[in-house]
Amino acid sequence: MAPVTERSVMLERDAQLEEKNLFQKLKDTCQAASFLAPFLIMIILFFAVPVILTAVLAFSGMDFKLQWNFVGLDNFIRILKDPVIPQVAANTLVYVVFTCIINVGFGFLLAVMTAYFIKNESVGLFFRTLWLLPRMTPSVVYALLWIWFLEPTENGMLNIIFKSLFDMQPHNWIQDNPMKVIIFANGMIGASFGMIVFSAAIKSIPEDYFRAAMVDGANDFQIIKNIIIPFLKWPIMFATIWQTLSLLTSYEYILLLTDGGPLFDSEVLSLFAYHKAFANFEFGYGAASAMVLVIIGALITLLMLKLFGYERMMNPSKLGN
Amino acid sequence: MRKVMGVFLACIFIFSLMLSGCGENAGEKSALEGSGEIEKVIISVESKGSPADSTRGTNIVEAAKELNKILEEKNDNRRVEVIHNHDSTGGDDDFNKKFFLAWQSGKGADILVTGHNNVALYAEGGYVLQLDDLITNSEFKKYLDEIYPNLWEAAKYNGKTYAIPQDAETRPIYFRKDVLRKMGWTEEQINELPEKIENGEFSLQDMVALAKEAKDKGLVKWGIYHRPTNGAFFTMMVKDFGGKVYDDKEEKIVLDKKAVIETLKFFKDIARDSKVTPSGMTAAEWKGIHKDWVEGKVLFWFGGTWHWAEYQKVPYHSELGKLSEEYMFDNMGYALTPAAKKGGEPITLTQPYVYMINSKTKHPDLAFALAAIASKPEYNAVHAVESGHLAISPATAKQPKYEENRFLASVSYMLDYTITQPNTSLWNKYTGVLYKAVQAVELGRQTPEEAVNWMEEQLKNDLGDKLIIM
Repeated sequence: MAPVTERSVMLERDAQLEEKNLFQKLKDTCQAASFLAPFLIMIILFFAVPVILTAVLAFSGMDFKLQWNFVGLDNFIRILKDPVIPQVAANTLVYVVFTCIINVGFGFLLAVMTAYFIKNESVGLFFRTLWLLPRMTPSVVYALLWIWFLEPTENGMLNIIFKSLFDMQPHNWIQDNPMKVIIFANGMIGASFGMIVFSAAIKSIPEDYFRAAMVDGANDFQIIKNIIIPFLKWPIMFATIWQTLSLLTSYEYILLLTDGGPLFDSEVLSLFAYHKAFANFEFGYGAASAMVLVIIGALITLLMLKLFGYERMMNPSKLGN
Repeated sequence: MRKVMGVFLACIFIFSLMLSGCGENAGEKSALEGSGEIEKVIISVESKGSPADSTRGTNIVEAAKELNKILEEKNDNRRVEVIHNHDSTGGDDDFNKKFFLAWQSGKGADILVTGHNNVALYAEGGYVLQLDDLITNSEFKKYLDEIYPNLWEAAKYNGKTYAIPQDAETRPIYFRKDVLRKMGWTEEQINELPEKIENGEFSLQDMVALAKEAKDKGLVKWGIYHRPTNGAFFTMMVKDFGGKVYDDKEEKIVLDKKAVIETLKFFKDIARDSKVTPSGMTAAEWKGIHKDWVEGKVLFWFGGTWHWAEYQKVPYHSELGKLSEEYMFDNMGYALTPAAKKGGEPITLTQPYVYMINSKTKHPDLAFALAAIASKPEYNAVHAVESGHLAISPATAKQPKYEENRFLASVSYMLDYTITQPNTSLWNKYTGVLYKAVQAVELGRQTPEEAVNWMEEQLKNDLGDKLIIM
């Protein structure tokens, strides 16, 4: 039997410790994996797989026969040559930019009104809930309400209002201003998202800042400019990126309100992809149009993260170090 | 722990029993056939059209009763139950999309009733059965023998038959007699108008002038209404202006630029120059159009024979509700679509509806039998009279119910002037672009020449070498 030295005991203890560490690491990894797995599976199933399928479909000429026949870059070349595309691209830009401005800007305004100016929490909550009602309403009902409101006959609510106020003849609001209508309708419903995020952020600003500012004689405008906006930089970034990406790919209210018309006046790229796929049964061409959207979305995200200084936000706090 | 395991195993056992119970259904047929018990077969039918056209499917329901008697006499132990859904809301695209996607997962209705213009899509995609063998050999072929040959042509694709004609129609121009009376027309003049149109003495230009006069005198809100959505009407107008739309030999779409420009000039005239049609006609609601028409706020309406029945079944009139046929004869007249120019030939278009059978149906023989029986004169006459459609066979036309119908008898002469659309899977692309061009000129966004140039560019991109430009 080998003599037991102090060194061999230490080595054995190290080996045990190492084994224990390894076991602990394995256990930690398993725990983390078990927490992450359901979400990872969901992301793969509902995000990664559709994108891959769309990408593959984009290189096929799938039509009403629903057969995979690969056509290389034909669909993308068709997009470049399609005479409608310049107008569709311009519509998309106008729709996303202006709706996003309303979503974020009006959402911010609502948040300031209900979380800063209205001090009574219950009253603020009541108004926020009111603004959330359209969110809880099914899209079809929300769109129908707009259609009824803007009905071109003398029975349309807006026409009744203008008739009684200015003795105006009935006006076809949707036909004459399709982009304005869809921007406004989308902006109104989208503002509630920003309102919730921003009002939560305003509520989390330590009360001391407001008190100190008031002691220094700052007025409301100065408080908003110098305290609320700097504190809300990251929520604003999040809401802007989120809404931009949502607006790029969403078309349900446009479909219900104008169906992209009249002519192509309110046709945006996502609706164009839908029309090509499900109205013309050109699934390959529709998928290629959708792929263009995916690429644009990815580029915009990267650009915005850079603009807002995302890396700086994710760096560990210098105070902590 | 044992208790928990026991409960778990019991659950699995019960679940297995339930599954095996479900499995027995699959083997039910053979067991029933052997035992002579009755086997219930569900046949689903999807039809589309106006609310008045539901007889397209209810005739199949009636046919099932007759078929079940035949099956009983033959000692066939199957009995048919028909589930029918009539869609009067969406367009062709929605109807087709619903079926194509359902078909992929082995579902979709057994029998479809839709316009013949969809036959090419369904046939080329393999969605429906080719029926030549059944039409030649089935014991039920006798019910199809008398169908007009031109309707069979509309049911064919590449020389093979994929559908059974279900009805026929024409698309007359309706006019308000009461408005013409107010304009000083005598009864004789009013009654002579259809004949003048047939003889080419009253052209589209005359129609626009008359509509303008009525509007200027404040007798109507608008002079002329046409359909607001994409449809066969716009093709009919191109043909009225002498246009060619399809080359059968080359199997290519034809863009006849000269004729299309003339057609678009007509739409520009009615919407922008003479202002007898709203510039937003293509964005109007169907209900509003029908309401204005039945209430006498429009002089001319490019409708269809089926509207005659629809106005008697759907209460569009805010005071009278559903119209009586007597009121309609007193106040509404109908004629062929006038020739584009004086001395020319008037026109109308028929878009026969057809029965098609799902290629994945488990009971093709029964589905075919149902469609064939529903084509019998007595059933077809009911559909024709109830929905304002024309007979598919001379035998139907001789049915007392049909013969006695004053409206149908008075429009049957229009069949001599009727045209049909080509059966090609490219068709939807052409009609979609033509409709957008009409919309562009009516809204004043493009001149007819600009709109045709846009059509050329778009069709080249959409159809490639499947396009001929004239």
